[in-house]
Amino acid sequence: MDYVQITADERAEMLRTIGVENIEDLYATLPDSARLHRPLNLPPARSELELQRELAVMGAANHPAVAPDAACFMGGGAYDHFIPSVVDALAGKGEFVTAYTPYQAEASQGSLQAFFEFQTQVCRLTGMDVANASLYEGATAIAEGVSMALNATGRRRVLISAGLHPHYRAVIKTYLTDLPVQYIEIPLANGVTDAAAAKRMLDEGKGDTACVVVQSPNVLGLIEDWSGHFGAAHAGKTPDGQPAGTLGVAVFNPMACGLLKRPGDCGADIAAGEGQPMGVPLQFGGPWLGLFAAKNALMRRMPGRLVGQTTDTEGRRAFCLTLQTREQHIRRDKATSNVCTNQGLLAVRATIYMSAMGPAGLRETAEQCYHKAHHAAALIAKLPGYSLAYNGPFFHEFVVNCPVPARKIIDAGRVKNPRILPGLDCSLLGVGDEKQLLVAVTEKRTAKEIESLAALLRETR
Amino acid sequence: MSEAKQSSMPLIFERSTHGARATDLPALDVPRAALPAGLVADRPPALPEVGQLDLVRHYTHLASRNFSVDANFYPLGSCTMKYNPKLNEAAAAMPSFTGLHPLQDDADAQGALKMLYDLRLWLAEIAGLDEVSLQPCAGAHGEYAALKVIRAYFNDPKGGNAPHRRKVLAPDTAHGTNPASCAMCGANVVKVPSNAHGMVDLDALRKLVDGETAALMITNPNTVGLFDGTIVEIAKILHDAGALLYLDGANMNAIVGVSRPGDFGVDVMHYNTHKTFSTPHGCGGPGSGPIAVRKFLAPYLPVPQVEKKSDGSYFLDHNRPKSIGKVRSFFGQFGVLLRCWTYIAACGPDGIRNVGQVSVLNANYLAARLSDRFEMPYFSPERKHYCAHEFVTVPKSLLSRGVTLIDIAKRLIDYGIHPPTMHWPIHDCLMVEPTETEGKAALDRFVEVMNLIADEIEQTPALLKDAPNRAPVRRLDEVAAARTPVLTAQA
Repeated sequence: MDYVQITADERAEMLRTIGVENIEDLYATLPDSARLHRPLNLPPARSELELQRELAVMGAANHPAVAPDAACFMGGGAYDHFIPSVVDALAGKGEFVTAYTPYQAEASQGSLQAFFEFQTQVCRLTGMDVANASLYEGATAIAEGVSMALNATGRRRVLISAGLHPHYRAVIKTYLTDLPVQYIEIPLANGVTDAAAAKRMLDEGKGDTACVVVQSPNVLGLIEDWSGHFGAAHAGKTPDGQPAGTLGVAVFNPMACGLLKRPGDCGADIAAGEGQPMGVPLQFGGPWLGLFAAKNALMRRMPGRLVGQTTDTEGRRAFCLTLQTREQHIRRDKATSNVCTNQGLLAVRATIYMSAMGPAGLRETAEQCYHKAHHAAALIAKLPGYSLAYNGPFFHEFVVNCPVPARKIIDAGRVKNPRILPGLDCSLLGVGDEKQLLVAVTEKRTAKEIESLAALLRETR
Repeated sequence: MSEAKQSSMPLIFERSTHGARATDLPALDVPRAALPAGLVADRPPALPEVGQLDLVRHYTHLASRNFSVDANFYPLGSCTMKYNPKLNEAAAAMPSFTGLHPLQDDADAQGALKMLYDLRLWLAEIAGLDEVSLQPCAGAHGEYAALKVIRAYFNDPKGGNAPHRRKVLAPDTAHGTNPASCAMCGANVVKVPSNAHGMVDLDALRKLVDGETAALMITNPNTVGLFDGTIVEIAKILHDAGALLYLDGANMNAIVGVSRPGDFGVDVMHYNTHKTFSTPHGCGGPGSGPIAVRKFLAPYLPVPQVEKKSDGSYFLDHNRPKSIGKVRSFFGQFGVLLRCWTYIAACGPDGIRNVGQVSVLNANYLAARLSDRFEMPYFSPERKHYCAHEFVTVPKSLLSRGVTLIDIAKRLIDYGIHPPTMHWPIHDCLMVEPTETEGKAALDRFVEVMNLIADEIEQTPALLKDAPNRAPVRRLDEVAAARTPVLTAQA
């Protein structure tokens, strides 16, 4: 079914109105050599019932980590959190799903107000002054943050902590190749960004460093010293003694903001991160949403859509897209970014999620993540042959040194009933060796599941 | 507070009552651990505190303050606001897909990978090109990824071997994302003028194409809604000079199944699945912007790529040494791509062709019926000048009566119709794109309303100046919003 409603009779009548014999005539300017003279080589059309069956069969070939028969301890930038039913029910409304970018403000107050609430929530979550209406996803949001820092400072080198998720680092590198910019990675010491190395790299830059980018909790789950790193960045001087203006970019997990000090509390100038933990299912990696916030001074350099408050002719509060002179459709090659779409529907989801959780719900969720992860870590650390790889404070994810390859444990968990997905092989993710397992524990995991995880590790030697 | 101000819609923060909760969690069933000293925030983020019913009412009310394809005719030119089938939403909501962690073993995600692989092949066939990457997050991101691919190809001594080719040409009517994407890749953008018929000026193009040129980015059908028949000639000019032809696939809806970019000389293109393949626009996203390329560009596509083994199983290939690298985390807008798969599977080859043809039929029907009162600079059936899937009107005689385009747009809102795109790609124009999914009754209703508005302009123009007056709010002061930006709720 192609969802076309025009009937054959109507088609004939419409062609008469236009004054042509058939639809092909309407493609008058299309040269014959540019026409396809055969049907596309695609599978034949299927009815809805057939497709429902086919989709079910295709779905059954998956063994999802989030399922009644599985306990998911996989993280690595994608976390299995509880999603209240109101989120799907409300974000699934056709009026949100099938609207477009709110160019016509009077016909789009629903999306616009939701985005304004979203921007406010992201600011309160991060402790920053201004947030946009979302970007594609975490990695590109972080890369946009780096670009913004480069443009705002006019500097040409960036210091990126090796504690950033490897995908985030890879995307930053992609965004920076072909540009006259130096990408420098700050190594880790004992699992966290090496402050002495960072200081040395800042000094070597002689004031030409645009930003220092640090993720916390970092890819190994450890909590970083944002205040220290951003303080050092801000203290940098040019050779003639002027402030270098190096910016601090905090890569954050919004769930951790429910418990830990926020980017804005720690001196960040820009905060960017993956919004998936805020009510978005894993769905094999997308669509998710990028969270992006900054200090007021950077407002006019922000990428993406911004919604502002105004009034209508009767003095009622209302909302519209604003500061559009930053954007590609006005500024073209001088725009702050090429971003056109945001992740509107995901921003609506996250708004509803954060509203549903509230301060107490988010705090409780974050605390349960913390306590359950620490309970799991304590159980695992007691197992013979197993130990925690790092001793620094962590949030809800940690690296385990195993007596066997992590692969062996993952394989053993797959065939359990219920299945246990014990975590990620650090060597595959590129953050450790093959005997290291990255374990994430969210509020959804039960004491029983955590015990099963420990039992799986104990049995796998 | 004035009576008018009292009718402002409250923010969710203004519905907050200390202690209210909309959801709960099971009691903690493990021992509490000591919280890390000095690292914990003094208090949780100041999110709203609302009960579940109040939460539901709030966002239900917000939803009712939106125009949407589900409720309204939405002929927003260049955006292809077609119907989004409910089956697609159901597919994307299946727990067997939503529950997949992106780093699960390939063996545990065979259904998902099969879907991606099918779609990869289908989109290549529809493009008439050799290989597709499903990675990019949206159209502009697809442009960006494709430009990186072109750059990598020319930088490769064993590929294009012409690193000095850093100039990218784009018509003056190009989408703003084209030059912005070029700038992000460090390419120099040069404008190509259009001729009086809205087509690329071939003489100007010949003068601009040189040994420094990497590519021309073209939208075809172009942004004024015309299929540029000189496209084959354009491709030849580029190829003769060793440069590539890039197609911005924003307007693919007009030609799907009818004409394939690869067959008219395109080397690389991006799709917007939320336009052509009916994935929903979601208040502005998520989109998805797969790119399709000729074989010689394939080695440079982003990683990972979904592949099929000889035993019939599917896997993600991260090992592509010439790849431009990663353009996002994980694999792409999976849930969007699943909707796209479902749509193409439902349409089949004949349906896809019908989509293209009826999108063009509907647009020409509207243009034909409106052209007596709304001037159409590029539409003239008597000279066989038809439009593609959208058309541009510059209603000069109506505008000469002292109304503005904005007045017309806001009056359409009163009639329950989302205004067309305004002032783009040319000044004082409305760009109307009905899409193929609108029935004839909806099209006729649009004609009726446009004529009513034309009558009002002639007889009672104050009705337009005053519009909208049936929307949730009256006309906004957008200038004030930009002059003194208020981007967050006050505490």
